[in-house]
Amino acid sequence: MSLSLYIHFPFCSNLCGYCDFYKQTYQPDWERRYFAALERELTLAIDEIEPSQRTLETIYIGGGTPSLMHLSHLENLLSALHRCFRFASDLEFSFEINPESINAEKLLELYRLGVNRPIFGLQSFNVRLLKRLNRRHTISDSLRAIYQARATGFVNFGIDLIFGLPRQTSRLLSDDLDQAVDLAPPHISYYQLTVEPNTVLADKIASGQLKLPDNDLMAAMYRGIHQTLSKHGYERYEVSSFARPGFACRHNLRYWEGGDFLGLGPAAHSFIGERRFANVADLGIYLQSLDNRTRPLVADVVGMEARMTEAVMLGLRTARGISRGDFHRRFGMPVERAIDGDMLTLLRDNGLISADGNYVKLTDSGLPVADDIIRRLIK
Amino acid sequence: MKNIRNFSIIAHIDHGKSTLADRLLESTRTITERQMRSQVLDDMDLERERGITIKAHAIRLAYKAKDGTIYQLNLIDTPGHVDFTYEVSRSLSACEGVLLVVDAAQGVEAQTVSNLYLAIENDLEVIPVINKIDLPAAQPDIVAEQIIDLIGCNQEDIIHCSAKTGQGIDRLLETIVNKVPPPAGNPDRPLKALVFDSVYDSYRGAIAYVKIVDGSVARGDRIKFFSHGKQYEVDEVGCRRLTNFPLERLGAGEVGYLYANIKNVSDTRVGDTITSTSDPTASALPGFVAIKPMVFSGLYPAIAEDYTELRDALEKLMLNDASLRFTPETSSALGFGFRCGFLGMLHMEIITERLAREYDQTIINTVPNVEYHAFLSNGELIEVDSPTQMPDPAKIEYVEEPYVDAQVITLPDSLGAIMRLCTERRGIYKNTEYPTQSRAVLSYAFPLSEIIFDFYDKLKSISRGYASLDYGLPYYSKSNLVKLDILINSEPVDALSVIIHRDKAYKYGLNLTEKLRGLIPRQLFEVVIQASIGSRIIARASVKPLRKNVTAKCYGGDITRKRKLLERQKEGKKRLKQIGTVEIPQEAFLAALKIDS
Ligand SMILES: Nc1nc2c(ncn2[C@@H]2O[C@H](COP(=O)(O)OP(=O)(O)OP(=O)(O)O)[C@@H](O)[C@H]2O)c(=O)[nH]1
Ligand code: SF4
Ligand SMILES: [Mg+2]
Repeated sequence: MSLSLYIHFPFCSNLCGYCDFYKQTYQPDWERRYFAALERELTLAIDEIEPSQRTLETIYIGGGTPSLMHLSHLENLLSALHRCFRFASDLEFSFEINPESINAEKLLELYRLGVNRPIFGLQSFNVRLLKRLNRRHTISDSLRAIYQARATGFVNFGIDLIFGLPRQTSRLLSDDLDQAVDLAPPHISYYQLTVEPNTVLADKIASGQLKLPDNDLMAAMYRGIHQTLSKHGYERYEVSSFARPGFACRHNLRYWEGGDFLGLGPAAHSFIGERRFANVADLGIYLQSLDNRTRPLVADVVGMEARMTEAVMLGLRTARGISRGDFHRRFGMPVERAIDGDMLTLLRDNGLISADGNYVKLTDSGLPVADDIIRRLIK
Repeated sequence: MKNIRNFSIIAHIDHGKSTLADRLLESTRTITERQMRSQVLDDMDLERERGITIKAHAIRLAYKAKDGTIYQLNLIDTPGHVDFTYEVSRSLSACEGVLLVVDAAQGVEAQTVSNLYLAIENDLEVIPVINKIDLPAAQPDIVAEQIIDLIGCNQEDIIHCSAKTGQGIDRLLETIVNKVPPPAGNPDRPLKALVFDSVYDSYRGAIAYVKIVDGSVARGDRIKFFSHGKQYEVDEVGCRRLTNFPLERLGAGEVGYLYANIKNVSDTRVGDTITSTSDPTASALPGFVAIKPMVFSGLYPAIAEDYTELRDALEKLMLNDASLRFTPETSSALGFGFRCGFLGMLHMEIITERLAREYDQTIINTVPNVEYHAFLSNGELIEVDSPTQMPDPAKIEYVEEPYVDAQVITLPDSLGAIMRLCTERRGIYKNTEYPTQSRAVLSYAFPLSEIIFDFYDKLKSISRGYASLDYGLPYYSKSNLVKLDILINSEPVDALSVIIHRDKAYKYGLNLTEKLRGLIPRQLFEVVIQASIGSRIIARASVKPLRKNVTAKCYGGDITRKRKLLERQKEGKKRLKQIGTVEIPQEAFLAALKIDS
């Protein structure tokens, strides 16, 4: 059994209006304390992992805005990681970057440190839409960052885009798509804007200041994205993930397929040996707790039934679908035990789902309404 | 006993009965200044919020008259709304007189007349009172004329007063003691008491409100009820002040309350006679005619699991409201619930609100209906109080619906508009009378179903508040009725079926399907909504399938959060009702209640 590692870097230079990730404003001395705590957490966490499992297949540093970090800290952290883990020879090492906080030098340094999959949070190529999201970067920041990534020698990299923004039209979306396709990144995550409760965006929508595209327009946008990207050689391997062949994100696939992962840093989640746990989403408590040499863990007791629900929920979001074999191996029973048979038949008759001897998966018309399907399918 | 005066205050709704009671309580110093608030007898939350009286309230006053004698006055404030007429009739049975209150600006209205007749039937002394004379719009002379015309009294018999300013209250009190006769019972005969109301108290059991006709009753006495013969020992007797006021005994002619550890409220049936076990009276008092519900509706818990809670709540409510009826019923759309009978729409509204407030029950109610009579070809009569009970049309010879003879009292200038409304409501015109220049009385026969729901509000609004309505007991008459069903993806939704006159069915079907289309959220499949009569589809609307609904992000390894979100959604959708594969929100059922027929 191998392992994936997620590290949560909880700092951003400014806070975006739609975001509910755990983060706070960047401050160098907090960053120092954070990294010190992180190393302490690592030494505690490693004890809980079987020696045989101490090989890292993938590393993902997310946030927050990891590109804000002082790379000397990263260098130290990596030495510590090397002391604890073997790194797989084909290790995938992702690192999230905001275009305004990156330059050629930093990219080179990341490359040198072993990062081989930078992900750029571009979101959109339209200045107004970016503004509406409260993002600080400009379009030239984005283009420059991608150019420099290539020049640095990154073969695998990704960009993150958002659609379904307030007042976004089909025209504006296709402009974004054109630009994205021109940049030709090996990987594109195209997220539909989710309005999280208690965000500035949610308030503005509730008060009627901003309006989201309606359901039909959302659907048309999503269809447009799928069509354009497949025309340009991208494969949709999950609801919002598109990749050139061979460039799917292995780290995320492990989440979806039930692989083990260790999460470090405040608010980071772990799943090891069918057990889920997470660190508290509070930097202060995180630091304090590690000062006392304990991980601030909240275990989430997840019963078998809930884990089956998760497997269905995550599996159906991927293009491959739920693997009957994997499901049976994990839970000792067929996937039919977790889903409503009548509903399955109905969905199949309506062309929303397909099920054969090996996989149960959503069709192209099913994927856009995955949430509803999953809700109605789960027992 | 010769110093006892028992009287009710009766009037059309809002003419100021409860406010007048306030003044009487105040002038007799029955309550302190600190206890005083407007309509102090209206002590239920709902009464205070809506500013209307729902239950009759009895209270005892002590009045020192001009001649120095101290009188015991037992006053009963009654509700004015038609739905609660039975509260008035019960109250009257405990009295020898009434104050017939008429608003000086509104004049005689429908329940002024109907309540007056109740008083006359009970042989009570009627004291006419014109209230609100302080209002700028008051027309006491015109109103006096209307009253004289109605009861044939003299100008001087009418008391003019203002329950707001207190003007005329002293004279009113004197008139009460002079004109209302003392009760006529015999203190030496065996106990004979009439239960005119009863309420459940969760600590002490049922409390019976009684009028002692003959004899007397005291704590420790053994009593029995005439109807079922059960015996009890009296625990406490007393009279009502703002709260219970225990007394040594209640003597002949007095009105008061009685506790006897009666655990079952159905054992203190209103109208029953109480007597003593050792020395029983030979015959019972006449009691009351059982009240029949006029309006029926299905009440279903919004969440199926709450069924037993709802049943308990209804049972408890029934303890204080003997007019409420319910029997279990099931619906394919709404699950397990109850068919409930109400006296009218206000009664139904109040029950639903009390369920929500006092028992925390969120309920869905189906479109209310009256009781129909279906006669089958084989001569059998089926009483239909829910559309689902309507027999197969092929077996029906004919259907009858309840009609009532109704009087609309109005100012002559809005006659045209009112007659148009009456025709729309399938009214059969009888005649128009002009008892005085300022009033017209229209007589119609109406199908009860046409006037019981929103007719009154419409009437009020087209007559600027001046028209009022009264109607008698229903009788049955043949009618061209059909059952209209709503189908969702071809499955009938029983809870949305209605019985309706054929001429109105088409428009109703169109309106309802259209409204439902707006309320049923888009789903994974197309949803087709149809209205049908028998196998004939008369209206159709459809809801396009949902196109996009997938939350994009699944970030970090926070899968728990995503799963919990899913579980919450699933929980949230529990309130949706399932018709086949279609999920229907509660609002869709409520919308049906608001369709104009
Ligand atoms: N100006 C004026 N207003 C009055 C007078 N008497 C009552 N009102 C007002 O009329 C309204 C109705 O008074 P209520 O005493 O609640 O009438 P009611 O007859 O008890 O009404 P129901 O019990 O619902 O039938 C209230 O707003 C009172 O304040 C009066 O003499 N003068
Ligand atoms: S930069 Fe990213 S993590 Fe930070 S606030 Fe914006 S969206 Fe959230
Ligand atoms: Mg009142």
